[in-house]
Amino acid sequence: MKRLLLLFLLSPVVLFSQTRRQQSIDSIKAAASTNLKGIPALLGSTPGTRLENLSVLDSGEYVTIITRFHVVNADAIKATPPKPVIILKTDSVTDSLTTANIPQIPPFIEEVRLIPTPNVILKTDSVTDGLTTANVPQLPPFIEEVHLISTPIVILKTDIVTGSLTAANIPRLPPFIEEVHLMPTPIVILKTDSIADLISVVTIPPLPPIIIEVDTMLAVSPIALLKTRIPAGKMDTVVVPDLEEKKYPVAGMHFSDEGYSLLEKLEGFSPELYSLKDGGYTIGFGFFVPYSEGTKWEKGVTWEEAEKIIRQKMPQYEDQVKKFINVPLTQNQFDALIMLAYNLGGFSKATSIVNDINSQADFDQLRNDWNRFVHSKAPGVTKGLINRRRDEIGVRNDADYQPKRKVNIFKTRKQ
Amino acid sequence: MRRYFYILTIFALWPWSGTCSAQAIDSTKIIHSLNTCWRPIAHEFSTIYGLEEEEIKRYLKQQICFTNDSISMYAGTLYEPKYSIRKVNAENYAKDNFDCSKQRLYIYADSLFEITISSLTKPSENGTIHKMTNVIAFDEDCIYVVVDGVIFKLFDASRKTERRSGN
Repeated sequence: MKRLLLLFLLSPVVLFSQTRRQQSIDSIKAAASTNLKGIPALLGSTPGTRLENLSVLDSGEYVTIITRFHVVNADAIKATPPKPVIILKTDSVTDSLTTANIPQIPPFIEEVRLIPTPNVILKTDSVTDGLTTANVPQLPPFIEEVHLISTPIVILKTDIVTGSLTAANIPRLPPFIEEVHLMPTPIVILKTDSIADLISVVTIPPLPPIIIEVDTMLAVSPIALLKTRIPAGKMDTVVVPDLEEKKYPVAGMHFSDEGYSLLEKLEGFSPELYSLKDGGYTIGFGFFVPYSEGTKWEKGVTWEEAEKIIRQKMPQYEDQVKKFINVPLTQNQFDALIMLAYNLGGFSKATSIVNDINSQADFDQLRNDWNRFVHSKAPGVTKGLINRRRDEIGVRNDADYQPKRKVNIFKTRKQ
Repeated sequence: MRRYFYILTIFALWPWSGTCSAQAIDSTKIIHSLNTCWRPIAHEFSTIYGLEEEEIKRYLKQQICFTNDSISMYAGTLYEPKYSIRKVNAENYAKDNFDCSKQRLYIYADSLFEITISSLTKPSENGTIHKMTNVIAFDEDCIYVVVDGVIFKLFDASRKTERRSGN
């Protein structure tokens, strides 16, 4: 009885709030309609622009107004001058990279966003209008591409996805990504509305020339989705030009952190002596120990000790590569050679590879010679060596610092 | 008279008291010593190597020849060789390069000369000349050349026997 009485008393309040809400929705609709009506006028002066579709959806909780139109000349959208945002992209980082350990981030970078593929998007809005891709100062060496786009739209693009990737199985998307659009070609466009409050239909800034389609959704907060109908291959040539690989004189180079990470995975960690069956043991991350010196390592090593040891040993392999190679290399090319030298137990043995690199032989020849190092007197290691060479070539050619197979980090086979 | 006898004895034994091991001699002499053809007499494998059996057989029949102007090695002829020489402990050389004892590499000297050879290739079709780097070891008797993880010991082809020395 009391509940009925309470309901009766509150019903005018509920009705009033529903009325207010409906008024609010109507005002949004009206405002949106005004805007939508303005769109053709806004674009009318541009030949070839046409409104293709216009629809209003009322879900009860919010209103979505979708307009789809074609803009042949994107510059037709008049707007305020863009506030430049710079997106720095790299694919040279590995999963081990976190926002905490990215080295040498220049001070103007304010945000670092990691996505699950080996891409890192760095975003800043603190740059000035005068900034161009050419004059971005003090970029860390792992940054390979710079794209200037206009706020408040963020388009994240990757071309490293495979055909098997779907919107559903892209793992671990960062929280600010709300939608994933897969293009027929292996291009993924990720969309965010985390900055959408800043925009409206009329303030969409001049769009980059590759954008020929604009889908505008007005909801509680406006969301803009910019898409391209240019085939991805062409888009690559427009938006993501192949930048010349940066090569450095080997004298100043060092094995990269990505290299260490992959090498540790490939070598596996053994806290105790691990028999090689051919004259010695390994311990830690594949450190060779002759049978005669086995007693020195009876106590074993911890992971931390092994990481320290591998970093102490690496300069010797770096020096060997520097001694033999007399042409500039990219970081990943250098890393691949170090990994090979580590596995061979010295770079002086890789004479064909040295000759190929110094004489700048074509890649097929280098790959053939690289893949020759799969012979061993030790039994049953050829398959592992084939895989190892493939991993090194992946680093050398594609800066791919991921193992090509499932690797077992922990090894135990004591004798 | 006895004093002269001692001196004569010392001089008589001098050539056999470790002469094959590297002594402190000048670079010119070492380079001059290299200028001959060398024939392989032994080989040993690294833990991982990159030569097929057929290639090893072929290399075991192949000589390496040094002249003042060129070196004919397995990969082809190299020109305008320039040498950088440093004396290294033979045991360390074996350990650093092959993770094994010097005996396993048929090295009997206590020390070796590690000789870094910088040279130029023959001009390619487009006229490009590349700078090459090779490293060999020399114990004043034999040279040691590594090819894709296989070390070849080569002996002066003009001589008949190898002189064992060192320990």
